[in-house]
Amino acid sequence: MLDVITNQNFLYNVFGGFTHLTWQAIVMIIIGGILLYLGVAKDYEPLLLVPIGFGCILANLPLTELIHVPRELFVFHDGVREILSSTGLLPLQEGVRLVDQGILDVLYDAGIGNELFPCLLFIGIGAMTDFGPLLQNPRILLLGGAGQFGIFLTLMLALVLGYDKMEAICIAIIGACDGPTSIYITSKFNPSLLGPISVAAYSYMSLVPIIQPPIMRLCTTKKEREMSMSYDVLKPVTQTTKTLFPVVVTIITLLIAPVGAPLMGTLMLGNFLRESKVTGKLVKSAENEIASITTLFLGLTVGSTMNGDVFLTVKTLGILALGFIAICGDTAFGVFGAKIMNIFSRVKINPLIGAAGISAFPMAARVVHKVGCEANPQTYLLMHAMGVNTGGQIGSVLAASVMIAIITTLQIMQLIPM
Amino acid sequence: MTEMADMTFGWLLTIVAGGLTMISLGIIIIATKILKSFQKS
Repeated sequence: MLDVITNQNFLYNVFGGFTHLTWQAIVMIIIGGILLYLGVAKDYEPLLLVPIGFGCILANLPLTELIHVPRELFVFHDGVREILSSTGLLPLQEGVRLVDQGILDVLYDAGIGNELFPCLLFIGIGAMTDFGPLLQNPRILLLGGAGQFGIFLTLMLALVLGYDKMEAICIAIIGACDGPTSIYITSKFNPSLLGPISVAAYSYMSLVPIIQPPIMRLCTTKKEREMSMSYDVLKPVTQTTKTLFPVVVTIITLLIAPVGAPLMGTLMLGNFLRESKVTGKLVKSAENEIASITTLFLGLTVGSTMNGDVFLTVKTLGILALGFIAICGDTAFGVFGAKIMNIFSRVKINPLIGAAGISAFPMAARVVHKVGCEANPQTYLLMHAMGVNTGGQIGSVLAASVMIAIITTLQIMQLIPM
Repeated sequence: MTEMADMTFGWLLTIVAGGLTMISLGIIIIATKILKSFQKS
């Protein structure tokens, strides 16, 4: 028996965790720990950062075989070996391994690889969103579009810095300030960047209260920040209008960008369930059970793609830096969008509310209200900012949908690689 | 066809996607105002 347990092969495999531990895995386990710390101790997006952090630790412990990344280097063994052998495709191309699926592989294929999880989350987000303040003053929807121009600024910067087209798109979409949209686009166009993009998107979303105020102050004068906004312009809307709104938005946007259907369709489905007032059980499920389960699986799977070999690169640092620029750009473009709107509009608005034109809901609206109150305690911007913030949700999904439509078309025309 | 240059791709996406997003939002605003006009009558 002593011969067996002192055998090098036995020790190598039983204590394989120690013998296979690499410095990259150690660094990634530390990063996973930091994400857990930020989620648990600092309360930064805990619902996402906790599963991501834990997934990161699980995936980087050696020999756990829970998930295999980068995915293109693995073929899964669920009965394919015989098929591949019979068709003469085995042995596989150099470097590709035939392996059994881990449980996180199964989750990846079930919801990330086919982009299902972000769409399920969108049903929950739609069910939680009240577009009432936006409908009371629909023109502020334009600020939800202005707030997306950080995406395009980041796209250009990423291309200038030498990222390829598909990488640049995935990095730029961090500027949508919308986790599910970022994950959807990255899964679609460059799944290898899923880890860093998701971490950047969710980290910066949680840091909106820290990132946005200095940019808002920089882009406005004290007089502009002090401006009060009347609530007379907010005319009440009927339940019929609120119910029809998601249907109208779905039809309009999907006629323009049909390939955006998974994003806009699910967001508006969730909102229609909410506003129709007859599907209470479904709304409850969408905003609680479905959203919670999906968030858990999504976070865990995304975290598990943070393999040290893929994550610990200079590229990741660039992604984190560009993601930061994207959020700053969104804020500035939103504020300047509001200023431009004031040039053409009779009823002036406080330019600060333009900064809420991102998808981080309702955090961005609260930040705007807080900065406004600091400048003028008499002002109350919350409901105006909420309207812009929900506009930002539509704007981000719309911008992503339009981008998918254009990129897909360019791929079909073979002007860019598939 | 020849593959598109990176910066051409960037500008194309910025101008077309940015423009189309804003136009779409404009159409949604008009549609919303029409919806609201029904609620007044």
